[in-house]
Order: sequence, then structure tokens, then C-alpha cells
Amino acid sequence: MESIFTLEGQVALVTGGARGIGEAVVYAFSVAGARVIISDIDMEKAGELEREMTEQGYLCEAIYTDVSDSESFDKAIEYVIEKFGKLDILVNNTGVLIDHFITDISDEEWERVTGINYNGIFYGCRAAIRHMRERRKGCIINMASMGGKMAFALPGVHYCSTKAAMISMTRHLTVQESSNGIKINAVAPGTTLTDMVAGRGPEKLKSIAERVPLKRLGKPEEIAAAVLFLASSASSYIAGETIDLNGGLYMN
Amino acid sequence: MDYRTYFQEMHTPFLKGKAAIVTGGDGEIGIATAKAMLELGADVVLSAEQESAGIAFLQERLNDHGSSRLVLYRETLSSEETAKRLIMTAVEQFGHLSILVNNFDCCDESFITESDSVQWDTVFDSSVKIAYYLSKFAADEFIKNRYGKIVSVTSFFGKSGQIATGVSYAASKSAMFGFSKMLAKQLGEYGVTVNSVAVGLMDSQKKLVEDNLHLLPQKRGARPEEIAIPIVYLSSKFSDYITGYCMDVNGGLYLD
Repeated sequence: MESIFTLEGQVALVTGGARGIGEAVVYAFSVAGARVIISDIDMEKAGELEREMTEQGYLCEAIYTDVSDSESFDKAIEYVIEKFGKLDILVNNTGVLIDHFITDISDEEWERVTGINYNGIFYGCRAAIRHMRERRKGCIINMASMGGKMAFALPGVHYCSTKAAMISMTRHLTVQESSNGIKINAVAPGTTLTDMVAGRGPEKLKSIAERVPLKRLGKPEEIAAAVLFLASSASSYIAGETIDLNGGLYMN
Repeated sequence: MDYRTYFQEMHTPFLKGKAAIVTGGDGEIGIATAKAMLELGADVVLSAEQESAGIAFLQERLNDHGSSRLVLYRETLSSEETAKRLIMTAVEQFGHLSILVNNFDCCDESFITESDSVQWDTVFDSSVKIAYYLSKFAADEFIKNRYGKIVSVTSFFGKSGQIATGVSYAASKSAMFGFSKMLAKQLGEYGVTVNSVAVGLMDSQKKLVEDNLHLLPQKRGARPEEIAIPIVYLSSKFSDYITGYCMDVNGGLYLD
């Protein structure tokens, strides 16, 4: 029996692929047989991961992308299509989290967070959909967050509201693009053990874990497994959905 | 974490060593779920009252493999005792229980003024109440093992009033959401996850699909395996951080 999660022969681009959940997604997709483009602004980390993956025999390539710049995003996607002939899967994973109260958020910080978390998703979806519509085939997965659904005092309002917007964009694009053969879904992780939350310190992380019914925080590979589920034909009848991966801390 | 090993396992028969109970074996979702789980290595007790081509296929397939990984439970699930016997069948046959799939489909399409309380009770007794009994007895096993997966199959009819059906059916499907969430909360600390799958329209519901094509972005209903595989995912270790969640598998019919 063929694996239900196979991505054999597919081309995927994972933004923010160099570290954290993105790195786990790069592994999940590579092991599933896809050619994976590690898109990141940090070319040093992306290059390191490219070498690590290539040495293991996987088809990976690092590419510079500033997701908050539409030209940069367009170029990255054009490059992939030109070089590999197609883009089957886009994972809009790049995100920035800042734990600031509203009065501590400068205009510049607001612009930066919304530029990456919100504009970046729009630029990515637009560029990918232009191509996927022509092929009448494609899959997009957006990395949302529990913060986009549940009121939680710690993260900044810029982070949470951009994640909520992403969930809305996922639903709306589904209604518009499903008939063009494009499958669009999202995942909403709770607090996941990556560099992104390490700055909160062990005490704060422990107190969050205690509130989770499963009594622990999420692991990057668990989020990546859900992304693979959504990227594969295992989820062929799932559309506009946001998978909650939060150990039960928030039940929709 | 060794990502490579973790993700490689996703492409193996990753339910090997797991024992599952699947109810609703007289319907296409139950059959497809049992089939997918057997293919992925699980031992399965399938609750089915009738003979069917689907069950014959599963039996033949297993005979080919010369194993007895499929047990059929033929009693009607109508009481606490029958539910308990189903749980015990799995425990006795396979030595343990790891997965419970609550899958019932007792439909009522009547208009409220034409409905009656007997029908209401029949719908609730044969679905919500049996799910309660089965989950209760399965929880004993799961708590003991500090591992377990409960997946309940419910419906978009429990969430949305877009397409008309009977109120008892909609209410019983809706009840499963609250049931699953509270069970997830109660069992979380034991490493047990509890989730549900809200199914949209099935391809086999030809008239419903035809009448509501304008609501279906993919212009079709679901095939049974398109429901079964998400159930398998939520029954696997790869969804260990998902609990209290309802997965909409409806092709974009209803997006909440």
C-alpha cells in the first residue's frame, strides 16, 4: 500500500523553513518524497539546513525570501516554477511573535509584524494562486496560531490579530479557489517548543504547560505532521479548515 | 528530536500493535475506517449487525493474510451491557484497547410538528448514549494504559442549519461536540486524546449532493476513504497534541 502521506514527485516551498516549525516541515516533506525549497531571510541557517538535507540524500534548496516584500516573494515563486516547472505546495510558515502590550508597540513594530505575518501571507497566496489556477492544482497551508482564536494576554495584539486574519483569509480563499482545484487550509499551534518562545523563560513556559489539558507544550514535529497531513491527499476533502494543535488549551 | 525517524514512521504501518474498536460497521464510513486501520496494521473489532459486501471484502482480504486481526461484533448496541461487551471483546481478543471510533448514523429527517418523542429517544439512545457508554468503559482501559484515542464521527448538520434535516438528528450531532470537548478536558492528563470529525455530505447521498451543489466548492460529496483517513490520522500518534478538536471534513461546505 502506498503511504497515505506521500508527496512523491511534488515541489514545495516552505517559508521560514530554516528553523523551528519550518525546519520540521522541511523534514516532513522531504521524507515524504517532495523536493523542498527552504525559503528564509536568514540564508546562513537556510544554507546549513540545505547542506544537512542534501547530505542525507534529500532534494532541498535554500532560497532567499523576504516575505514582507511582494517583489521578493514573487521572485522566489517565479524561480521555483522556472527551475522545477511547477509549485505544488506552499507553506506560509514565516511568522514573528512579540510579547508586547499595546502601549509598547511602536508604529515600526506594528508595521514589521503585520508586514511579515499578514502581508506576507497575502503575497504568498497571491503569487502561488496565480500559478496554481493555471494548473488547476495546488495546495496552500498557512501557519496560524491559537493566538488567532483564543484571547491570551501574553502575546501582542499585532501577533494575535494577524493570525486571526490569516484564518479568515484561509476560509475566504477556499470559497474562491476550491473550484480551481486549489486546497487551502491552516494549522493553529498552541505554544510550541521552538526558539520563538524560548525568550519567555522556563518558568513562564512551565506555567503555560500546566494550563494545557495534556500537561505539556507542543513539539515542532507534531505541528509538521499536521502540515504534512494537510499537504497530502489524506486531506483531499478538507478545505478552509484550521487544525487546532494546542493540547486542548483552546477548544473551539 | 530525530525528525527523520519520526517522519519515516508516518510512511509505515504505524497502527501496528494498536487495537481499535470501530462502530457503525453497517455503513460506508465504518467499513472504510476499519479497512484503513487494518491496512495500517491495527487489530480491529468492527461493530456491524449485517452481512455486507464491504465486510466480506475485509474478511477475504484478511484471509489472504492468514491472520485474525478483524473481529466482528454482531450484537445491536442498545444498552450499557452491550457497549461493555464490545469493549471487553477487544480487550479479550487483543489484550488491550488503544482506539475507539464512535461512529453512528441514525437519521431523522422529520419536520418538528411531525416528529415524536419516540423518534427523538431512538436517535439519542442509539448514538449519543452509546458513545457515552463506550467512551466510559474505554476510558477505564485508556487511563490504565495512560494512552488512548477517541474519535467521534459527527456531522456538519450539528453545526449548520444550511440544509434541512430533523431536529433530533442535528441535536444529537451537536451533542457530540460538547461531549468530546469535556471528555478531552477530563482525560487529557492521562495522555488520552478525544476529538471529533464533522462530516459534510457523502457522495453516496446523491440527491442531497445534487440539490446542494451550489454549496459545495468541489461540486461533489466525500468518498468514504476521505473521512476514514482523517479518522486514522486522529487515531495515530502523529496527532498526539490534538485534543478537544473537531475536524471539519466537508469540502468547504461549511467553514466556521
